[in-house]
Amino acid sequence: MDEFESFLRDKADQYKLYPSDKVWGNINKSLHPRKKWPYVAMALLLVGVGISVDYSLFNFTNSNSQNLTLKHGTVSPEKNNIAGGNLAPILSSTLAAPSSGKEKIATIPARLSTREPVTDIAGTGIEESQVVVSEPSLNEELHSPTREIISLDRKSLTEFRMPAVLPKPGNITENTVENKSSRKSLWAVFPKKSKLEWQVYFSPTASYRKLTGGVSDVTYFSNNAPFNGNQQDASEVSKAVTQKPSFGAEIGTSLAYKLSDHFRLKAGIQFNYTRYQLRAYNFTPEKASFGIQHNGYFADTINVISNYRNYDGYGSTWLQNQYLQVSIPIGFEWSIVGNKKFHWNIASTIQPTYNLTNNAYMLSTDFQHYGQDPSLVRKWNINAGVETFISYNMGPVTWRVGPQFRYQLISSYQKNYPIKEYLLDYGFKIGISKTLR
Amino acid sequence: MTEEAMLNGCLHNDASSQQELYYRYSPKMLSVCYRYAKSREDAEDMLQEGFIKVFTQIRQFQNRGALEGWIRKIMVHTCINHLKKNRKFSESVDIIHASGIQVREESIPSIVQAKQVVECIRMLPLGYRTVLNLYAIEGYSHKEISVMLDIEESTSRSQYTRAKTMLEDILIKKHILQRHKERVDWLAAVNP
Repeated sequence: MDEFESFLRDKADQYKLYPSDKVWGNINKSLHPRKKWPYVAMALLLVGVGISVDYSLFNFTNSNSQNLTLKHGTVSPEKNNIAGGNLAPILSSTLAAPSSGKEKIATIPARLSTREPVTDIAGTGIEESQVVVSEPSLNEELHSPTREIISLDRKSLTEFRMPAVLPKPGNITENTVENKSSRKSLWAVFPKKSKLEWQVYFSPTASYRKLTGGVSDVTYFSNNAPFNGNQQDASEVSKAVTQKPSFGAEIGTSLAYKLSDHFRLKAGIQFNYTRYQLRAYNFTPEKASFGIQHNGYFADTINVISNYRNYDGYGSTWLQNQYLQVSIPIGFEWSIVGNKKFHWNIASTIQPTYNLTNNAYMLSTDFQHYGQDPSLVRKWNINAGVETFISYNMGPVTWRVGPQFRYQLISSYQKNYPIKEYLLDYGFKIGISKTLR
Repeated sequence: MTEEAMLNGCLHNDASSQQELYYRYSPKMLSVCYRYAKSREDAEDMLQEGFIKVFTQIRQFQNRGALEGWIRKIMVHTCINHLKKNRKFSESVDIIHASGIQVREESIPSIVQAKQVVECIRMLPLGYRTVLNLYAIEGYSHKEISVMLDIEESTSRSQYTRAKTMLEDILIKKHILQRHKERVDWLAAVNP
């Protein structure tokens, strides 16, 4: 180094510049990104729980409705005192009565609610005389003198039609007020049936992966041809590799909450073992380069030692890439069609996933080697699952069998690695579910 | 905070240790970036990218040599990669293209000497400036520069020779150096 160079170096080293505050802010944000998905999942869970609690406490619905018809002419005024708890005699006496002439009917629809007081009946124009009461067991319940129905929801009241012989609306109101103290919740009328269902399942899977990344993006780094021989014209990374699926498995358990007979929300825990195979060629230890991209260009390189080439070598072998993950599937099930025994269902879940361990060979950015660098593999990811299944009710438990598909939404590798890998699992799920008491 | 504790914190992705390291080295590193960049904003972008790499690759440091030297190397490589993304850069390392550039004396800022020298360096054409920065200030060999910039080694040498001549000319016009008997006596000028 001559004197001129020494002079330049001294002066350059003496010079200092102070960066603006936003630089550290950006660096810190990049190094410690706010993890959004736990908050989103938590918010969804809280909303779901809130809706479920609200639904359970204030909007109880008896879904197994059956209609009973009371015929006109047999109902006396006092027997129509629903609020007074005299519906049972009405039902028992009128069911046996013969039909005569034009039938006028009043209807109590299947939907009964604790929210609306019976005094609202006064506002309805009651003319006809068919009373429709839900749930076969209700009839039995109503025969008991201690059982009372004390409320109806607003929708029901618009459909409620009573015979001309009914007492004046004012009487009903009075009776309602008088009997306020004896009001009982519908929970007392209908034994509460648990809406929680426990599920456990196992699924053998065939796992594969989708590789993406434009050759032009990837090869900018090496500035030379990524391929050998006739593979020069490959336009996709996936065309530069030979791979085949392998068998994996999923096992999990979940709790489902029954919003209705056809719709359930569920959340649980699931372990996934995913693997596939890659064709590689043995060779003497060589350098495998993983180019790291930043803002669309290559900013650095991670070099590892590798014994495997993607192309020519001493002999071919199949490398096995394996991932062991735990995930939290959150989703829904929808029963499309069915009868008492069989149902056809579809289900979908979103699955925040943590990569417990992996043994994954990555393709180098020049496509020449396979090497391992765990720091380039993501720990957290998100998967989506869809499935369809047939459920068979065997009384205490329900069997569930059907195909499923699981797809990884974010690349297995860190975002600054230009080659993207998305894992796919095709499986056949076998499980059982049981309604909790 | 000692350097060992700071490094240990950075290895564990501790934000306060990272901040300490950043505030300790960012002024010097920004001046490094500034010598390569087109503008102050570009220099800050380079600095940001460089420090993200420093923190994400801190495990590779392994206490071999000085931390500042290691960070500086990352910064220089970040700057070069940044420049290589710009197509004009590959044109600017073309020696013929850059040879006819004239320096106007009035454009040289009149500030303190270290800054004056750096600003004079920044007045050089991009290709000249990059080679001069790498060779004279960072201490890379022409062979290493040829690999970094994807140019011939001979091109690096000739670029440097011309850059040096042009910079001397600028420094003389700014009266930082004085010509003495057909020779640039820069030492007499800066250390009277």
